[in-house]
Order: sequence, then C-alpha cells, then structure tokens
Amino acid sequence: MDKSFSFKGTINPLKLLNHPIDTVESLKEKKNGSIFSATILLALFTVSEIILDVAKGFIQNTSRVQDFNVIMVLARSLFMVLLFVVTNWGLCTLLDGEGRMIDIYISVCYCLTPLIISRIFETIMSNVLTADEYVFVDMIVVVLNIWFVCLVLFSLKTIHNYTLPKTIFNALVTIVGMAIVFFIIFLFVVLMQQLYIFFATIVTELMMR
Amino acid sequence: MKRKLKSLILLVVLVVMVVTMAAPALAYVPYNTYNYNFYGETVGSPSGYVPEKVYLAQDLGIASIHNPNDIYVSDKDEVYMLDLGGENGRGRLCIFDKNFKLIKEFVSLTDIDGSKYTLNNPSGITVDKDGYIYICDTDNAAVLKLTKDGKIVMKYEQPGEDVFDDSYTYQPYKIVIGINGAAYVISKGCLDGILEFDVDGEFVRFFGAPRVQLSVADYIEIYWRRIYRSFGGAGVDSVFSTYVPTEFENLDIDDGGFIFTNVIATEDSTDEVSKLNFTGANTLSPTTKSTKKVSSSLSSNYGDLEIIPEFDNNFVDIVVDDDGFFSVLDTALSKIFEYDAEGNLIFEYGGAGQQVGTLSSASAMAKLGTKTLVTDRTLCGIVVYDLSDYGRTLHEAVVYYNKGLYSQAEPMWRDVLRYNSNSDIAHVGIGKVYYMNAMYSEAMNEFKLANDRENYSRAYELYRKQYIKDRFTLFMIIIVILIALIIVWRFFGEKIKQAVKSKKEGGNA
Repeated sequence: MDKSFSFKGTINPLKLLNHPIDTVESLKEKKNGSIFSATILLALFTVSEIILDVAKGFIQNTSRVQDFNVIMVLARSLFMVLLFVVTNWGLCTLLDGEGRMIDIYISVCYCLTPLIISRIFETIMSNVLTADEYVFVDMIVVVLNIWFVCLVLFSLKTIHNYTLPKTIFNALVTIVGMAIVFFIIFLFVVLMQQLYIFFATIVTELMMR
Repeated sequence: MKRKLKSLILLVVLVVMVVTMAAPALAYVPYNTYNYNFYGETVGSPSGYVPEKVYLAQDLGIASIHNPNDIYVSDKDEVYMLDLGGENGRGRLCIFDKNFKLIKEFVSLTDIDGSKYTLNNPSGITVDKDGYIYICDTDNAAVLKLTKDGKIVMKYEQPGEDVFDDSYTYQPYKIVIGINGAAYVISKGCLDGILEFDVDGEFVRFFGAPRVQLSVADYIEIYWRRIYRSFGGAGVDSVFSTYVPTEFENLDIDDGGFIFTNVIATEDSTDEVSKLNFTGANTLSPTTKSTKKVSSSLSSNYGDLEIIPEFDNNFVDIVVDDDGFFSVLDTALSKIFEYDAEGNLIFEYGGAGQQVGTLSSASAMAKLGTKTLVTDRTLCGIVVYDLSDYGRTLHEAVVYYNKGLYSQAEPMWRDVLRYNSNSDIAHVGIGKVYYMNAMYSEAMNEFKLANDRENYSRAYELYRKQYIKDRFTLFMIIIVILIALIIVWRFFGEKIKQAVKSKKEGGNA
C-alpha cells in the first residue's frame, strides 16, 4: 500500500519554515506526508481564518460580528485550496506533470503552514498592539504570505519535475483555470435556479387548477 | 369617609398630572431626522431643528412675494430679502427686523447721479459691518454698493476686456465682503473661480477655481482626440467637448475670513463644499475628516449618502454661522445639512412637501441667531426653523469641544446622550474627558461605541502601560522563570534526554 494513504505523516510541517527544500523533496521522494496530516493542516488553516475574522482586535477590525458570514470565509480559504488542487491536477496532465492528485494535495496543504502561523500571529498581535505599532505585523504577514507563494511554487516544481519557468507558467494557467471553473460553477448554480423556478411554477400551476 | 377622601385625593392627583403633562404642546415635525454611522448607514435621531413658522407675504407686511432670490441677515439682525416682486416684477429689496416686521421696501433705487435705478433680476445680497448693502444685479451686469436709504454710492463695473472671453457675458450672481473690505463675487457661468475686487471696486484676481474632474471615459476621449489631431484632422476640437471645472454656486464668509463655497454637484458626489483660505486653497480637505470614517469616499461626502441618480445633490446655498457650523441647502431633496467646523454631519432637516417645515423649491437660506431662514420659490415665503432643546445642547457641547474645553462640555454630552444614545460625537466627547482624567478603560469603551479607532488606540496605549505597571512583579516573575527554564534546558537538556532514553531501554529490558 502507498505510504501517502497511511494514517500518520512522519515529517514535522514546521520543518518547512527552516528547511523548505529538504522537506518538499522528502515529501515527494520518501512520501513522508500523509493525507490525514494534510487534512488536519487544511482544517487548521480554515479555523485560523475564521478566528482571524472573529477575534481580530478592535483597532484593526472594521467589520462587525453581525456581518460575519462563515460561508464567505470557507469560500475564500477551504474552497480556494481545493479548487487549486483540482485545477492544478487537471492541468498537470496536459503539461506533462508527474504529480498525482494526492501529492499535490499533500504538499499544498503542508505549504499552508506559514499562512496558519501568520493568521494566528495577526490575531494575537492585533489585540495587543496599538495602531502605530501594527506596521511591523503587517510587514511580517506580507513576508509570510510571500513565503507561502514561494513554497507552493517550489513544491509544484518538485512534484511535477518542472523547470522554474514552466512552474510559473503552470501556476498562472492554474489561476486562469480556477477562474473558469468558478465561472462554470456560477453558471451551473444560475441554471439550477432557473430549473427550480421552472418546476416550482409547474407545481403551482397544477395545484391551482 | 376615609375611603372617599382617599379617592378624592387620587382624583385630584390624576387631574393635575394629566393637565401638567398635556401643557407643553409638542410641535409636529413633518420630517425624519437621522445621522450616518461609521458604516454609512442611517441611524435615527431626535430632531435638531424644528419648524417654527412660515412667513408668507401677508405676515411680512408686503403685497406679495415673487421668486425670492436671496436672503441675508446682517450683524444687527436685520433680514434682507431680494425677490422679483414689486411693480415691474424685475427686482425688489425688502428689509425686515428680527421679528419680521417690515422696515423698508425698495422697488427702485437712487442712482449715483440722482436718477431712478431699477434692479433687473438681482440674485445676491450682503451687508458689511458699516451697514452698506451690496447687491449683485445679475441682468444689469453690475454689483452695487448702496446705503440703507437705497442710494447707490458705488458700482463695481465689469472687469476689463482682457479678463473674460468675448463670448462670455458677465453675470454677477452672489457676493460676500471680506474682513478687509474686499468684495468676492461669483459670476454665473464663470469657470475661473471667484472674482475678487478691492475696496475701490477694481478687479484684482480670480481665486479658488474648483479642480477639473475627469472620468476614465474622458481620458480615453482625450487620447482619441490626440490621435485625430496627429492625423491632421482640422476642426477636431470643435467636435469634442472641452474640460472645464465646475462653477461655484454660492459662497459665505466666516469670522476668520475663510470663504466657504459650494458647487451644485460633482461627478463623484464628494467635495462639493470647500473652505478657501486667502490663497484659494481648500482647507476642508478630506484628510482632516477621514480618520473617523471607514473609507475616504465617505469622508468628504456632503449631503445625502444614498443618492438616487435622478436626484443628485443640488446644493444652492451655503451658510456659516458664528459658532463655525456650516449648512448647505439641497434643493433636490429640499433638505438642509448642517456640519460642524471639522465637517462632521450634525443635523439634517427639512424635506420635500407642503407642510409647515417642508420645502418645495428652496432658493436661499440665512442664519438669524440659532434660527435658520429658508426662502422658497413655490411657497412664496420664508420658512423659519429653530434649534430644539436637543439641538441646542449638542451645539453648545460641540462649541466647547472644538475650543478644547472637554470637561466643560461633558455635562452637555451626557444630556445629548440622554436624548440620543447613538450620537457618535457625544461618545467621542465623553471619551476624551475620561482620557484626560486617566480613566483609560472607560475612555476605550466610549471610543469603541463611537467607532473611533484612532482615539481608541491612543487610550489603549496608555491603558496597556498602566496594566503592565500595576502587575510589574508578576510579569518579572514570569520572565525570570522563562529565562531559568531556557538555561536549564540548554545546559542539562542532553542529559535529561539521555536519562529518559536509558530509563525506557531499562524498562524494555
């Protein structure tokens, strides 16, 4: 049986922060990550996004609790990650990538680690620091976000065995692909709505007769 | 017997209660008053201004009012009104005292050489501190300076030929007198700004022209025009529109010599009001306001925030009062918006309708003490509003607050909050008092209610300082323990690991 399906991953995701290249390669070669650990990381990321939205300090937070919508948060965190994984997998078959869907999923989820840290860091610091001091937090968050993008690019490069230009091309095409998928989902929802209204009208018509 | 006495007393008490409670008859206010919160949503509030009376022609002691063009209140509380009534229907000046008793009515004036002078659609009037009256006689293209007896002493003639294009007709429209005696005149359709005349009536300069606003479509059109021109298209410029700034609609001057001026509407419905200093720069910049609002687009947005496209702002008049509050009159919504010196919306009042206190086609307004006078073309009269108790309290509080006398303003802010607990500026005012008295957590609470993040952050900084100071020992103990733990781990970590390992192996064996 493939090691990726095993319960426990044998690599610490925090290692990505100081040994990114080793970790990404060992994820591919030694299959150190597991679906289970990856899913936990993804869940942590989603939760940290929600926490950031709800518990961000008053000084930095201009949105109100009554305006909070958990579906929107899920749509921009969980849904986006899954959409990226699926789209990238679909495209890598066209662009001669070597990676399987499991590999992409595991490594993208492991790459979320700096994002999780940045969200938690932001939540704590926004409750402790004043408006003037917060500039440094913004800087650190930007650095962590860039770090995340670099990690994703690097792990895609390793998984698919690409050159760097091809990786960047692959990532850009993936983003376009995500937009297309999003558009199709939107169309589908609208069509379903139409269909629903159509049948609902028929039912009302029959009942009124 | 005792029972009867008891019921009698009860009856008397009841009657007294009913009579005293019914005594102050509440004036009916035919409009809703609201303010905007941090998020740009409307929040209901008590009325700041209530309608007092509508003065029609018969109340004022004149035969009729026809198209009132402008109204002005002098330092001596005399009301000057310009309308198109009178025998020829081309212009008349009426002077009333502060109780709206007619003092004088001028159907025609006396010219400098003693002949009769007839006004022709006069649109702007002002009075200087010496009592001279200045009138913008629009269709005669003249600005007149006259005594209180209606005798013209000076005419500000049209500026020389080199000032305007040949195609432009000079139409002086509105006027104010500066603190040094200079006259500031708006000419209808003049896009160069406000005309300044010196004391002798000589034209000095233009100043304060509003900036030109270009949309993305305009930039594209300019680009196309450039291409056409490069291909030698003659007469291209006549096909395309030209880009000119919006013209000023009205102006007023405050005690410090700052000129408040407004345009009817702007492309993005912001920055309609400017406060010009001597050089013509706008000192009412959005940056001074935006700190309190969620976005900069909200910050310099005067008038109603929820604009229906067909009913965009139509600001026709601006008035600044002695306390620094300025109001703009919007004829599209028939509403008056009052702002404090920093540009925060204080009250809006009025509305479209035909009841006492609502307006149909308002043309001008003036301030008589705390009262607001608004002339209405359809109503053919003057509508008078006065501050309510709530409004008076809030005004006093804002005046103290803007002078920096926070603690004097506190009881008034408390009163304001009793009337309206949603008042953001009252919460900020009380918060500042707490802040000055070093009650930081209370201050933070008030600033939070008012959504004032900047002041909240300031109060929080000191609150945090105090918090740590009060628990200094605790924090020091924690830090010392942490350092000790790190040292222990550094020196004995390996040994501990080995000990644990050997114990495990020992257990296995």
